[in-house]
Amino acid sequence: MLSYTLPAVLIVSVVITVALLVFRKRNLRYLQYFQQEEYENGRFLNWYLENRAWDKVASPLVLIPLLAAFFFKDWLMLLLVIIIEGILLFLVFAEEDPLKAGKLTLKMTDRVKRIHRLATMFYIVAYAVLTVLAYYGAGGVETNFLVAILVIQILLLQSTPLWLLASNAALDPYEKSLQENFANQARAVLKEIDPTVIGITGSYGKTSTKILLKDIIGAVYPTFSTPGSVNTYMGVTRKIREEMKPEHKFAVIEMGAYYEGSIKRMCSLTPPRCGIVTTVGLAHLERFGSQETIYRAKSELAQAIPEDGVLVVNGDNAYTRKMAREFPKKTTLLYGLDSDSSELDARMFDINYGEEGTSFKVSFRGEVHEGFTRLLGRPMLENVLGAFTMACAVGVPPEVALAVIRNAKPEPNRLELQRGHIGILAHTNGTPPQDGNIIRLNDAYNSNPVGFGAALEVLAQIPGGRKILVTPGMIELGEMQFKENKECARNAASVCDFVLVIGDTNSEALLEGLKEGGLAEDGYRRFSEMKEALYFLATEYCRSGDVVLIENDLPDLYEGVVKF
Amino acid sequence: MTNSERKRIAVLFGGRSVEHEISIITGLQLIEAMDTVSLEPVPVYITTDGRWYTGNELLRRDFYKGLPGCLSSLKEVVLMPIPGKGGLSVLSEKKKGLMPEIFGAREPDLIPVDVYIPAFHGSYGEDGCVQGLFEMADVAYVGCNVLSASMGMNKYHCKMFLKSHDIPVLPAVLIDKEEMDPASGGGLKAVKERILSTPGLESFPLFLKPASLGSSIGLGKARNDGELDAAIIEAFKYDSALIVEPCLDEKMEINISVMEGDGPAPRASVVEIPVAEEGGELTYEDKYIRGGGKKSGSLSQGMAGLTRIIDPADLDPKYKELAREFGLKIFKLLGCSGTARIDLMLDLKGDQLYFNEINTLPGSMAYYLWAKSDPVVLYTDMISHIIGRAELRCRTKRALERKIGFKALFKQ
Repeated sequence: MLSYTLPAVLIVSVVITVALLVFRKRNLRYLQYFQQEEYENGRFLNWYLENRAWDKVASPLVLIPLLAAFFFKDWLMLLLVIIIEGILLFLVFAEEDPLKAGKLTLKMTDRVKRIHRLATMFYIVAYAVLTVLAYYGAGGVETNFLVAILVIQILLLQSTPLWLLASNAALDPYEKSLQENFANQARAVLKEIDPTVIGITGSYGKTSTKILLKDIIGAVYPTFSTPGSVNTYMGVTRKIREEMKPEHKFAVIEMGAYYEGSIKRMCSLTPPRCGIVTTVGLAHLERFGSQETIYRAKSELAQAIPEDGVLVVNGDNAYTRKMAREFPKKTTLLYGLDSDSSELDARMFDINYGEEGTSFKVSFRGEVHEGFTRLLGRPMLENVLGAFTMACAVGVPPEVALAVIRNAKPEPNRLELQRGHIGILAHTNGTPPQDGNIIRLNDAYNSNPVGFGAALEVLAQIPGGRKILVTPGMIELGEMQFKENKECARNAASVCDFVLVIGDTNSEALLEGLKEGGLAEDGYRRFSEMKEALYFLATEYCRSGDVVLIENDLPDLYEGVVKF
Repeated sequence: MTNSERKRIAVLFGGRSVEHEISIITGLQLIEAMDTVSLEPVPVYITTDGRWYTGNELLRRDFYKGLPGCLSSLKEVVLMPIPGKGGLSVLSEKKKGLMPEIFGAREPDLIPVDVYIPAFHGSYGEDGCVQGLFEMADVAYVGCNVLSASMGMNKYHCKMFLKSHDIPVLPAVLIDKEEMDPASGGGLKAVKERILSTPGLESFPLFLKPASLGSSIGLGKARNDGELDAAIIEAFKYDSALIVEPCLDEKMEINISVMEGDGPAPRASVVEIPVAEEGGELTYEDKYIRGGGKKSGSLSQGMAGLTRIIDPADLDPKYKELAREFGLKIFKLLGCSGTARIDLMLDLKGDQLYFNEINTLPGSMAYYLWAKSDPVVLYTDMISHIIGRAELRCRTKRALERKIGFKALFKQ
């Protein structure tokens, strides 16, 4: 046995105890992000590097006793270690609680608990091994031992994510078998209840189409559907196990394509009799490589439908039309808004945007029906028509489908139309807003070029006074961002009487586009924040009858600063 | 008064109804207003899937943000339909006892309760269902009995019954969801035909409501054929029967609250005129969200937060008097107890007051009307009063002769 003094032994105990406590807290905090990255080691690692999420609090602090160890002795050193480690512990425990803080809090699922436990075990073993090595390696020289112990603490503090990754990798086979078990239970439930499964996939519009279709069929037959945008193998598995009931006659399943084969896998879970493919677009192009691959991934749904099943596709999209030709079923239906296409089975026309919503006509199976919806914009109408077509194909009377469509409410912030007093634009803190009523088109959620264009089309058509656009432009468009923003702004110039450009992110592109589009100098104005712009509109600019389009909002840019 | 002398009052709220959330507000308001010197509240929350929980955490509004995970910190309870037990049995899986085979399973713990207050709105709580359970368990409970609660819940039957007692009502038709089934020759077209051929409902606009719901959920106004389709579908989303009424052009809603008195004669409050945000019908938002809950941070006050004019000075006193008269009569005719809010409709063109609907468990127990009445009845006193009445009713009922012995089975 090597002999170390009592203070040294106490110092080691304090350091190890603190290291374990800090690990617990930090591991849970990393787990919060690990969960958001869907337990994928690669994605987590990317997040870690991009956000430089290594420890920047504890390690520098430990450097103090580490340097001091060369000079101080015994009790004085112990005192210093207790003070520093105490501060460290305090700082780390004052960090945000992953179970409560953040937009997406950490959910303590069984899986999280397993990963956390195993990572803790790894950490303790690693700590024990290194401590023993230091004990003997220092050869009884106390300074060496203390320095080694403190270096180990820094190293292991920084290694927290490593154990998370190792634990996750080690548990992977177990998780997979567990998941397959759950999936098989879901398969058994599905087989027992045997509803007609309708799969929905596409680059855009899956969730909206699913919600509409569920409501339409649900008006006639009890219908199961996954809530929100749940569209993964495990998400659907879980919902089937928890929520599918014997009375369900139909099941509407959203199928997300994450890689080639993912829809095929989903179809093995929920074998579809019918399917809708909304669009084959460019979403997630970087993940798939080419549009051809995206096409193949989506066509897995069409392939999984039996010959006597129903395939409904968007007839306005070249790729989905091709899919219908390549994998025809007994009932293959094309829907679309383009008036010049003669191959369409369901066609929407005479579309008019009014101050209450959209009126339209649908021709289907030789009959023309009149309809109305509070939903606005071409992409949304495509979803409406897709859901209508499928519902009619499985036996819902068209008038019932149109009645449900009339009741459908827009989702908040997705081209949502609100009529009201000018005061609805902003809280004006006592300053009286202008008097009169306006129409507000709120499209604040995640804008993209197609959505922007559709919103402008609605703004142009809707009857009203001056047309006003408020936008910070679009983000996450990679190298296309400048061009796309400029293009949208140029379009806007021909529609709008006044444009309010928010922030700096896209202002250059937007202003260039507006000028090119021929908007006069006094036709636009810059604001640093959305709030300011809306305040200006409410208190100074707006008059009764104006129509205000709020296109995109970017609060997320300023949130989510990661601190460790 | 010591703890053990206080009467234990179980306040039940939540429940399997679309008005679940509003019921939570009513329940919590009621508990806050309770005279805690003589009464000890026992909050009982019933989840949307019908499980009963109790615990003091329920008194915090924040608590409900954590649903359903936070339920694990509560005790799950149930009211057994067994006379004589009186209280709530604790259903806790952990309490099975050591080796139940040998020692016998432990009796579940009992949380004693003296009086039950159902603070539900809508299905299973306001419609006689939970009242039936109270009757089975032979416990004292506040408010209507099974018959008056279920009559009050069904808009159509209530109207037809009152009509037969000369209370004026608007024409109406009741449609069952089965009539939508194509298999039996029904469908949207057939339903529409039946509605439009009902006397008094031949022309638009029409008003459609689920037959047994309150709270403006599933309501629809139809100005044309397309809107009628939509309104039918919307109402059937929430109920298996709907009622159609004509939609008066110029009308005014007049509400009044009626409460049981000390003897057989009930008392009536002042009247109110609820005001919708943009004119027209009251929406769910008007009733429950706009009042207080719009700004984040402030608490929604449920029905008590509605924009309304209480005891409007410019309303012709003859209508006030007529509303009072109708209210008292209707309360008696339906055999109500506790507090009810009766919604009347004044046709401004025809100068005629109609019965519209009754809420036998009104939002916020309509306390805001009594606070402005003459004499003023404070919420605290109102609660104590209706609890006292509930106990009296229960004693009277328990004294009835029930057992006449076995005679028929063993005839000699």
